[in-house]
Amino acid sequence: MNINVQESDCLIKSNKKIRLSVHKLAKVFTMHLQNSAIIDIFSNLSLSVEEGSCTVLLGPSGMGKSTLLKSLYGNYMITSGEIMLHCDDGNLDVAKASPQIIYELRRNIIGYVSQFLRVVPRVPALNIVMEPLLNRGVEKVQAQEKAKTLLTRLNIPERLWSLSPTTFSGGEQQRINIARGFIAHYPILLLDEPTASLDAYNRGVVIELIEEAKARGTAIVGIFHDEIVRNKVADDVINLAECAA
Amino acid sequence: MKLPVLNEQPILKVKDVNKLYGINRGCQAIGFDLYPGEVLGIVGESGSGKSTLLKCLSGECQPDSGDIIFNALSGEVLNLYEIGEAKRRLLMRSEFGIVKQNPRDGLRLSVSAGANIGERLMAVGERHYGGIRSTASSWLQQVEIDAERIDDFPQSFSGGMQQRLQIARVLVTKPRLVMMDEPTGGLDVSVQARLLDMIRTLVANLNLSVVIVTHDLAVARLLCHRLMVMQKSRVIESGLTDQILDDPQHPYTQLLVSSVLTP
Repeated sequence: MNINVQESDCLIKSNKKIRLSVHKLAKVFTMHLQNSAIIDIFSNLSLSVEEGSCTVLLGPSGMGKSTLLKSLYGNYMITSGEIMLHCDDGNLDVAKASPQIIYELRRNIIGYVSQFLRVVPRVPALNIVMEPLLNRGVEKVQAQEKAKTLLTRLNIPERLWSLSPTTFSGGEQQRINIARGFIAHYPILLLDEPTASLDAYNRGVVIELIEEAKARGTAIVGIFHDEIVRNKVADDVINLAECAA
Repeated sequence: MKLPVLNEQPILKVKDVNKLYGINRGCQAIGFDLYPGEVLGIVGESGSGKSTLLKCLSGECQPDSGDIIFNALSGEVLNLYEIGEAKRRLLMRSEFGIVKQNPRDGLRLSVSAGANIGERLMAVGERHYGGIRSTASSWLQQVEIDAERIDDFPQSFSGGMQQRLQIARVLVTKPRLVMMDEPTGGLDVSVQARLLDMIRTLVANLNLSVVIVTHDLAVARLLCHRLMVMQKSRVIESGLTDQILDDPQHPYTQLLVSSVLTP
């Protein structure tokens, strides 16, 4: 059993609210088509994340870092355990939430920046970035302004805004993804290697965005292979290799 | 950070619906709720019962047993196969919209594009010619067909244009529940992408509830919030679209997902 030591500590040392806590999480993949192979990713994972702080997941590939983020987002189905969101007016277990609740969580509470951009062909980059705000009912003009500001900050040239990002370079696609993840403010943000294919300058912009989100009180769980970024943003580090069963 | 509140009622409730043509042919033990604004995809191989289920839902095929309950705009709660033929027909051309896989099945080929759209409006009581024509023209533009072609016959349209015309014909009466059977089937990929983008935008802008049958998992991923996977007449797995496609649990779903070719 591995409880992150910080969990008990933080209750004493800070009065920040815990926003997300994971209890005894297990994830097993059963590959029915491959001789029913069973892949045990993790079996007893616990952690908690406070508002305004960033927890970084460490560990070699295959330890389940991305699997954990995907589970927190409701994308992967966990095998057992709890994923509790601590709202001001009560708690909610993501692992047991209905699809309708998950839509709401993804609209308003949990943001996720994945490693890869997956979009409808033909839709311009600007519209893709605006979408999370439009989904919350923000006026189009206002959403457009915010999207433009963010794309400018992330150094996406204006001539690309009206084009579909399917033909963009890896680094450009990643910045579209980042813009989409940061345009609407979420109390909980999951970041899966957001800086993997960025140059030093843009990496700096992403660090700023993360710092700003923390200042707003966002609880962040992230994977950063890049040590520079990790050292800048991490308040807490969890090594999944040590947490493994 | 507040807990999500759901105060919307389902627009459609499906309870233990069965329609069998033979052993495991058709659909059986189907149950689900559909919420306003939600897009539900039904996926599975040919012969798994997807289209039979869709026909039951759309009022075209009475199930052997089970209930399909629709929350009408008027506030009435209607049991689709207990309200009588006349009322069901009215529902099918007003609050329901049915998009056929083959646009030629959903369009009238012997009348102009404008008349195809206008006809549905007249069926729900619209009488003013000028109003009908201008509505038809604005719908042509919404589905990206040049309004100048309002008097052309659908035969002169390409497959993709015919499909977009069919969608305009269906949506013009502002249905609340739209059912689509393979709407992008048989279209080449460049046309598909355009249609997908259009359907997505219309669904979001009009807050439509949609049930869409498709065997194309890429289409399902881009359009659907939630999926039901069917095999041999039964739903074997259901859930959030990305969860079903990224972490399928059932052996058959794993087979479906792993069989997709990515270019």
